Amino acid sequence: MPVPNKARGVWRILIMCAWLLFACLFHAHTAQAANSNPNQLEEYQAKALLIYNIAKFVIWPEEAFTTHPNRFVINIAGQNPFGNAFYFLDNKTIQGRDVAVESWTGLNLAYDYQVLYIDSMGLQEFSHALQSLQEHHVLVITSNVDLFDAGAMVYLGVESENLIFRVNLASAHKAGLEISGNLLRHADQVYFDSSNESGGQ
Amino acid sequence: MAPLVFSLKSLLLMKTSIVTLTATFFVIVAHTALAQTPPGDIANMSLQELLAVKIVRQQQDQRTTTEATESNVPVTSPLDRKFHFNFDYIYVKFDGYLNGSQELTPQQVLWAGPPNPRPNDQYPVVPTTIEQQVLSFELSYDISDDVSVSLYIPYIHQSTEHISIVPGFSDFNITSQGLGDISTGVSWQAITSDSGTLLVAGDLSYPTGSINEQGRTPRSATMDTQLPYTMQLGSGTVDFTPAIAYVGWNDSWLWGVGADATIRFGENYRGYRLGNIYEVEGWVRYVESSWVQPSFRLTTIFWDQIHGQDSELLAPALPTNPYPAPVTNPNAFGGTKILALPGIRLSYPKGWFRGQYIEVEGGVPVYQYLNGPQPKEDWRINVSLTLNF
Repeated sequence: MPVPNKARGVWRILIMCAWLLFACLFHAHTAQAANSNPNQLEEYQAKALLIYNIAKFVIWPEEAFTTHPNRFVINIAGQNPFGNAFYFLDNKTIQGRDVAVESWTGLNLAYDYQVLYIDSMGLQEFSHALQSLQEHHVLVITSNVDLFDAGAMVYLGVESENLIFRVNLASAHKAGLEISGNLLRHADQVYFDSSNESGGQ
Repeated sequence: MAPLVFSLKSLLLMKTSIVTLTATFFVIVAHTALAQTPPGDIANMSLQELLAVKIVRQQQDQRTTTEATESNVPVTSPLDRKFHFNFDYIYVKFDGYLNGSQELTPQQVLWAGPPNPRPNDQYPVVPTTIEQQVLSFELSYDISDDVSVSLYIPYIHQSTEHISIVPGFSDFNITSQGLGDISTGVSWQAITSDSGTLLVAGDLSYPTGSINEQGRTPRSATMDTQLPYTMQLGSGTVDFTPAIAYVGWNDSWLWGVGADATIRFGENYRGYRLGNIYEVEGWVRYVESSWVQPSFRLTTIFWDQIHGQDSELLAPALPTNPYPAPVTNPNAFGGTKILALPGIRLSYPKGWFRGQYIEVEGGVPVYQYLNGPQPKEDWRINVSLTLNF
């Protein structure tokens, strides 16, 4: 019995795979475009944008950029809930520095990042880590209200289907960070002392 | 296909017709017309606009656990990337023989021929080395936060070197290649916590791989004859593979344990059924770096003998038993092996590339006990590319 021509079958499979891949690449590209509807955003896409906007209104001391003077680094701790939501930062800058989004490696003793987003950590562990983070001028942002109460500088939340944020100004000042009034006037709550008693809005 | 003791899955065949290509073209054109604001514009939203936008909430306990594909149990991602492609290349080499735990060379398995009596564990035709290569494509889609469906298409190439006492075939090579058994599957993230997830899955494999592969063997000097079980591309039966896995994590480590079984039903039309396969494994991956993540996997595989037999593989005139080669003897299949597989995952964690990765895993069996004499695995390597959209 003659051996069938296998080459034709191989090409059919490869062509099918190539079309499937092309169609799904196109789907992904237009799906990203569809998500930019300004009237509606997914939660972590909106939070990624808010982190970007907040970073533009915070002033870091120059020593916060000693390790990498031309980079502005946003670190995400633990399991990353943002996925690819920071894609819009490609080729973007913050305060004249190229933006990078990286995973937080826990004991990064170089502290060569400016923003740390963290949602999940034991309170005792966080309290120990916060002092070092403040000493190294790191802006700590969280969606965990317990961590905000424990001293994180910015809290991101959703209320009545809208994004809100709260600022712990005392904690930010301990980190040597100055936060613009143009940002604070949009905050849901601003706390001026370490007890997180609301100071206004 | 007995010596390939990893699960082979199946899929419905799609024809690359002009109709399909034309339909795809119009879908793409229509989708383009409906596309909304380019992604770059959302970065220009003012703070006021951003705080006025309606937010679509995500569930708080979702995690990106695509790492859990380690245990062959696809895991759904709660985020935008619902399509997952995996391109896999696997190479397995068999060299030498085992009878139980006793090592044998091919020459020790080769029967010297008449007038020498033929021991039951010697054969006139003996494979020396076997190389099996599989190129596979898997597509999975998250139909919900907890459930994924998948499609698996393998393409197989095999090559076997032989020695024999048959004149004109003292040493020869046979090859086979083509589509393997395609499969569809579903997986379910049954339980999820902040530190782990339990996954349950089931795959159904369809007999799309050929069990009629033929080639030039010592059975005939003038025409192709049926090739042994190891050279066929499929099982010829509908097979079901249930799987369960637990994946745990912390900031630095990812680990998991899993088990699966390939259960074959009925007999194929050639009168046999490949042995069931049972697999248990544990693995660990160091994930502190986003760029380079080393891993280690320990896999134990048990597989059964072949039930029934293909009558075209018999040579009734042979003394002692009618099997001309060990790979034609259904009783010389099955056994236990433990594989130690170090690996490494490489990724570029920025922009679109975040979540995509290349993985290389390879290793050797650290233990084999085979119903023999049976070709023993020498080493294997697996190179995998995973893309998420």
